[in-house]
Amino acid sequence: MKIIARLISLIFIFICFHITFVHAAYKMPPKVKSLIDNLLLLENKDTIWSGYNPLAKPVALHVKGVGSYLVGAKTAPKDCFQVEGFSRPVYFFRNKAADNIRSDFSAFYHTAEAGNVFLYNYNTRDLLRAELLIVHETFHLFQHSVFKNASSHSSPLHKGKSFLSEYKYGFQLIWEWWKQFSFFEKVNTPLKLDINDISIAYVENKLLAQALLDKKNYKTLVGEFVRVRNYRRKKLSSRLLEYELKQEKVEGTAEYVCWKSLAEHFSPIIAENFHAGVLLSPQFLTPGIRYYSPGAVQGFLLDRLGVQWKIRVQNGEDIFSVMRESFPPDKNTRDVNTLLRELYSNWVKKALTVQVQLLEAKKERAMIRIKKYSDWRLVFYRNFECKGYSTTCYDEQIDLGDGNYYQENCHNELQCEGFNLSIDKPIIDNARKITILLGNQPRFKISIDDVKLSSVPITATFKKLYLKTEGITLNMSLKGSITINGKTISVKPFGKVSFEKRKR
Amino acid sequence: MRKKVLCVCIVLLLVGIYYACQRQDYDAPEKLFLKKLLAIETAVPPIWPGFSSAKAPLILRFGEEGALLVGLKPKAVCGFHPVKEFFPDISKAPKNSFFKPGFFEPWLQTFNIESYKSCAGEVHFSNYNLLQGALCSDVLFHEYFHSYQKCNFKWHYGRQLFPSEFSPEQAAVAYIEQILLSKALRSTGQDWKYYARAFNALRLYRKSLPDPYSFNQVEDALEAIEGTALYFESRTRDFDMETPSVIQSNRKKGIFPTQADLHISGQLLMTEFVPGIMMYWRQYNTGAAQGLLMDRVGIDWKIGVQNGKSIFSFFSKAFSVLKAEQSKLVDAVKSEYDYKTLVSVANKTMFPRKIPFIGNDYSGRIIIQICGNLSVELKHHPRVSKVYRFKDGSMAEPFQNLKIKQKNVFNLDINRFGALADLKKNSLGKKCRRLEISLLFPLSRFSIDKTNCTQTSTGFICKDLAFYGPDSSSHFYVPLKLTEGEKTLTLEVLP
Repeated sequence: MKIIARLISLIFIFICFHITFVHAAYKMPPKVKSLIDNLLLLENKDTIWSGYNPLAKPVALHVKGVGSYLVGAKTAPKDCFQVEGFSRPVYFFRNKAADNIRSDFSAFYHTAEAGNVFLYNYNTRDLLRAELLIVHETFHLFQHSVFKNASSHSSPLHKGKSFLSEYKYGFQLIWEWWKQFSFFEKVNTPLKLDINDISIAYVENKLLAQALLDKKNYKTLVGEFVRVRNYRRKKLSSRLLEYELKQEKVEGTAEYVCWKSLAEHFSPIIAENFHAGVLLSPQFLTPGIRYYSPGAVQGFLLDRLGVQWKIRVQNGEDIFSVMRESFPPDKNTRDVNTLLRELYSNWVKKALTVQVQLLEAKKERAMIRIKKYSDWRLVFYRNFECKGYSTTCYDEQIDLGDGNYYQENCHNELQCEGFNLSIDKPIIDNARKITILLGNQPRFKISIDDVKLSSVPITATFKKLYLKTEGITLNMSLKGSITINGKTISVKPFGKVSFEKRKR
Repeated sequence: MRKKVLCVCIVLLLVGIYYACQRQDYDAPEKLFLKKLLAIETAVPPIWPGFSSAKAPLILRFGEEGALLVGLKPKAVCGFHPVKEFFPDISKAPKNSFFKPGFFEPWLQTFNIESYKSCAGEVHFSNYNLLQGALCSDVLFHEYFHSYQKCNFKWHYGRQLFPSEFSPEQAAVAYIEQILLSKALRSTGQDWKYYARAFNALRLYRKSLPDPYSFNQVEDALEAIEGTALYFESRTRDFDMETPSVIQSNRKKGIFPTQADLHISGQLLMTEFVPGIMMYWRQYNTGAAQGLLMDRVGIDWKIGVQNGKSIFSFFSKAFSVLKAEQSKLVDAVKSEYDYKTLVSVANKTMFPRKIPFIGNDYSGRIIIQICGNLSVELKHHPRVSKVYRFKDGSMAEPFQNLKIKQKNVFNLDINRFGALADLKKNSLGKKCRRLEISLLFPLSRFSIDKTNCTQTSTGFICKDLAFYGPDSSSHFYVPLKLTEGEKTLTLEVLP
């Protein structure tokens, strides 16, 4: 009787699970449906960029706690349901592991059910942003296989909508900018920030923005842009020029494609306004991202004139060389001196100078602080790969020049398979370890293999570790070791744990 | 020999000069902050009439070097001394500027400037190391203006839960309004006034449309709070670049567009046509833009806004349009900016925002166990009346704003969306309660001041306690037991 009851409850549980799963699949959120519709439209559209298909690799749109909607897969993944109503098969599968992914996307994400996919974390984000990001990033994949001499120099930045995301975004901007300013000096590929160059580039940006918004006079305004850019590029170092050419080609065209698709699916006015806004705002002059919009806008303007430019850029030409050829200055074009007199901003030049000073002063202080630091430290070795890594900084991090980065005012969160680490303390971060500065008299709560200890042991190995002190919580269920030497506590997970590989 | 020594000395001297020239001396950040604050306080005409550190006292920590206190005379026990003792080359500083060297306890990591009870008195607190810089936004002064607003504005400061929906018509018109404001900001001559009036006409038209989700009300509040903070931030950024006399002379000349105009103009164009941005972030720029445009015609709008009137109520008068002219302007701009397409785009993109607590889980929870009579005030959002069922089995009632008080025992104030369960808990024969407050943000966002706490094996025993977080703060004035879990913070008031 008992066996029958158990069997019945098992069947009941299975049916409940099945119903819930099927229900989730069929109750597809409208924004997911719209996004899939738009991606499928792009798949067969050659007008945006010939040969580019966002679904060349399967795209999984993941909704946390619900599951992933897979589009573009050649075969059905394991344990999935096909969702009806689309021109191509769309599958739904639970993909629970992706619930822990914190980043917006992963271009190479391995799922047990569907193999390697482009994973997009949809959650509460909006349709437009989702489409922009997916198209931008999948276009990079296309560039790598088709473009001549194209490789991205930096990862693109994306702004969230929460206040914290704004901070993070702002931080990323300044961080990219800061990297350009001094860090390259210390590695093999030095790139020197040129404030004069950026200040003149802002004049170009203003002209491009005006041209984009003024359909009547755009040819003259672009001709003026060409003049100012020719003038600026003559003074540009060859290295910076090379960097600019590459960034406009790689990031500019990816930005062009995603906004072009948005313009076609929704409205061109939104795309044009957005880029005109970016070009007018001096905050986007930070070197890491300052090439995105000018690159994209040159594409829009060439389209307006009806120039076939894409295949030329794909084959290695610079977008600006096509611009120069297509928009020769006419009799209405102002000369460079007039343009600089009317549009050059001393404010922007001073702002750039002030920012350099501010960052230098902060760096100087950080160096002094770290040199004299003699209190407790917790060193956590990064023998692992972790996708759930998030950092929210309320200030820029400082490069200490030896591969170490000092973060004084950040919240770090590592949520990985086998452990969680939450940090609200200053840290020195590098590729191999995180050194957390604990202060003078930290009080620890520690347990090893579920046994509470009164203090940190001199040396021990563990299968499970829990360590907590003011501003730090570490929870590990991985094998590792803990040692204490003077005022330094070291925690090492054993071996090189790669969760990606382990899953496979 | 003498020649050799002389040569070596000259070489050493030259090397010394070379390195001295290479090394740049930077002003200490404390000095930069004081200089900028003084310039703002003494600006003529004022950036914001009435704004001064005396009305928003602030402690600003500079890493481990020390902390500045401005706007308040500290009690002697605090260890703050006049800034001149530490920075003798400061010629002038705001009245009541003090410095305390060394590490300032407690380690609060807030980036919102919350009201904080320090040994010097009731102040606001922040780390200096907020993201700031001339090209990026100056977060520090933006937040500092919010702390001024908290004490001096009649508008309720707090992050309201913004509407979850927006009619496509409202969205389309609101988007065209941004374009018009942006155009007005970057235009010169008489053009800018035309765009300002067209904006006015269009907004008046939108305000006459059905507003089923109370967007207009939220828009006014956000423009008054965030719009003015962005206005203040944009205006004060000039002090990083120019001396007060240059700024004053530029303003007298009335040359525009200024860099602040261009920046806000750009931001308005960039405002994405998605619900989250249109319903919340957009109002930062529309509010600031109206302020910048009213400055051009010398309208006195700031005191009125501070006293609770909307920015648009002033703007509307400053750039008034005749009734007959209004419909013409509205028709003209609707046609020029493709209103119909925008409505159809809004139909596709303005999906209702997902209700909070994704996956039926909370990010953080505060549990308060207490006996005695409490006053619990919770403001519900008009359209959220359901009870949440969390995946751990608990249930709670949603709120937009929560205040709980027990006289001389504790008070708690959360100006964010959350959920509350008020559970009875009978113990010791007294009327006791367990309050479970579920939050949309993690507990790590709170700064807990444990200065008067002692650690025990099971948690902390505190004589008193305070914590601060995003738009929330709480003070306990009596002994309590504090236990910190992964996602919960339990505060048990001891008998």
